[in-house]
Amino acid sequence: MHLPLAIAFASSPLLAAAPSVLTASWKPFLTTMPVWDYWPILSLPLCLGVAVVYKTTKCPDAARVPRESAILFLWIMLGLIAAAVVVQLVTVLN
Amino acid sequence: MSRTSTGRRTFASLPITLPHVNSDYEQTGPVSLPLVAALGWLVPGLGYWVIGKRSHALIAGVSIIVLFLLGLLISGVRCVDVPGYDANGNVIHLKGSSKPIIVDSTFKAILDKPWYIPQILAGPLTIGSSVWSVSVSGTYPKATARMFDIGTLYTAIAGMLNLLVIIDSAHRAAKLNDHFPRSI
Repeated sequence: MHLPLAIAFASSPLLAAAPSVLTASWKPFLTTMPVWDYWPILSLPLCLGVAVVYKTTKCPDAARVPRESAILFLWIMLGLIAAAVVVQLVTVLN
Repeated sequence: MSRTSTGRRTFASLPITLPHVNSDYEQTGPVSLPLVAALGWLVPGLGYWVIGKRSHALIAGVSIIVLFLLGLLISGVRCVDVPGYDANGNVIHLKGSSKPIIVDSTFKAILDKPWYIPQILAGPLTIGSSVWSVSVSGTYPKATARMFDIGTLYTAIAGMLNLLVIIDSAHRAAKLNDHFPRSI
């Protein structure tokens, strides 16, 4: 972004007001988190948690869990991306 | 990271230290399988702990609790939809019955809220969240947005992962008991 434009954007009253609006409306553990526009990112901690717990049950030695779960996490993410591409292709072709 | 004699890379030289990573079963006495399962349900990972797999207990327990709490944080505590209560936190009754539906027709009440089945597998965390959910239901109505579904998914998966951990810890406890002639 062009520097003066970036400074103007960063100092805009709208952007300055945004965090206070979010914190005012969002009550942790009571209302939904305002991350509607970034919801696909929420699959990352879920897949990581699944990978870690699954590999904890499978690995006899806990020292192997970080590496094994990292590999499984990558495979899950690749699978999700592949599924998304297939669904997108099916949708476009139809 | 270091390499073993077979050339495999290990994490032995990393500054990450997990307690008892190389020990197998710290506790060598026989353990009761129902006790292992019950403790695993009460506190995620506790089943591993009582059979001496303390690193496994910490990793699994913390992961499950964090997933559950993330679900509550994303969707709010109302994503724990308690059987027998309507959206406003009122007790549901069957037509012509004075008893609550959860007493009168428990199976139907639970089937009406099927996500509660995997959620309850996370143990008292879900029970505490249920009480909280019902108590704030008048002030904070159930959301119907996608974010609400994501939180429900997080909490349900946390519960199902806890079931996996309970089964594995009980299985390991059974294998441990095979080494002992005295059955309990």
